[in-house]
Amino acid sequence: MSIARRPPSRALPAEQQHALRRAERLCGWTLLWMSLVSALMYFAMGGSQAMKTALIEDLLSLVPPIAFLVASRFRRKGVDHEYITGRERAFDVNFLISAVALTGVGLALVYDGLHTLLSATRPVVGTVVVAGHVVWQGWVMMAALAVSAVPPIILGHKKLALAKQLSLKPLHTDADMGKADWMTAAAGIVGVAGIGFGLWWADAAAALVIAGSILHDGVSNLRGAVRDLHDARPQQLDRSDPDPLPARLCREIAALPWMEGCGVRLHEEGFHLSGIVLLGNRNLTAAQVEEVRAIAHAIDWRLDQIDVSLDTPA
Amino acid sequence: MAGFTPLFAPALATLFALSACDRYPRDADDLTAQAADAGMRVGASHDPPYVQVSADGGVTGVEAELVRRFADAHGYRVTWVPGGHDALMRDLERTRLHAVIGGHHRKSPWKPKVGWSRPLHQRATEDAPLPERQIALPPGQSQWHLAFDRHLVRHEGAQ
Repeated sequence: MSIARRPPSRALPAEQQHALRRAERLCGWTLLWMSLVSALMYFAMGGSQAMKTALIEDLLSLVPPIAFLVASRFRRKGVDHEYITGRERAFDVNFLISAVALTGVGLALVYDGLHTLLSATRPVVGTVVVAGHVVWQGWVMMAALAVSAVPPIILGHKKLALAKQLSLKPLHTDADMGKADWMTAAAGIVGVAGIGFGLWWADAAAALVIAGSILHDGVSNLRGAVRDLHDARPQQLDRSDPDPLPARLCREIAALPWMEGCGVRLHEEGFHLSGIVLLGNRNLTAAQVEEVRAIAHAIDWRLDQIDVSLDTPA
Repeated sequence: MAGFTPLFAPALATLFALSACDRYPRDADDLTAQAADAGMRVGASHDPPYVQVSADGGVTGVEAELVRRFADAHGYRVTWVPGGHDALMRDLERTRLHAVIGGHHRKSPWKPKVGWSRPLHQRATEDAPLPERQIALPPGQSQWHLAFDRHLVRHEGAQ
């Protein structure tokens, strides 16, 4: 008896490998830019609630790219005596962490917004001296918020394209976080502009409006991450529909002349879909098993570990 | 990213509109208008030599003079409200006062709750070792705060 290790996962096609490297570089850039933006926000913050939550959000938006870089590095180690089924699920854990971070941002925004509104706290927006002139700090805050919106817009757009190419959900969540970032910045600008109009509640109300959408994104991602870790039915990247790959695999196998009925049960593991093909053939041969695997691998690069087994009626 | 334009465009339009507006920023509770109509209510807690509150309720000292000069420059009447520091700060937080002078500490628990003027940079003495003096202002009153700070920087040597 021995502990059987799973064979190493399929290597990614050249195009996807290139995309993964680009995604890693993008995450590196995200860390750099969002750190700079967070520093800028800290110095321009003043007493604005929306500005403070925008800063919390910028700091939390560092979590998905860090988790992505760690997951990517961890995944590369592959199968060993400890991780006997490989490390393909590193990105699923990354997805969960990113979803928790996004939900955290939503909750923080809702809490702060409600607290400010219910306690009727007047935001403190003082003055700064620029080249000998006393200037309302709100202008500086709005400028900082506008600047802070630019990197997440550009990076988020690029990440979304890569997430589609790689069919990688944590990267999609990271892009969602980018969207949350610039939406919060836009809400912050509206809020600070509102303070300037004497509307003390504008700041918190603007933050609260955005908080709803971010919390919704966070919770749906969190639910997705949990269902993926439970090996639920694969879904498309945007979770709108079931992934069409299992049905396609089933169709292609069913077309084999020797087939006596088949079913597939696949789950997601990072980039890949793995699982089991259940056949009705009583006298299944090793050659037929190999033929099924070859079909699976020919259909799509995402189909990885396909086990073939007899479908025994319950 | 489709939502970018619909959200950002009004924000930018607002900004451009605001830069053309002369009464911007404004106060949340119209403290500037109140000062013009009913005078400034300024809290003062005894903090020699900057603020001295005498037994008859009179307030003197450099910070009291500074507030008076600001009021004169804008044509406001000053009503002094002598009292304990925390009670005055509570009133300031609720925007019942236009300013509070005296008794502030560098690590005041009131720091994030109320506004603060530009640092006055008065010289520290043996009696008053604080390196930096500031006057507490009500939160959320942007027009008032800006006018006060402009006076301090232009006429009182604040930084």
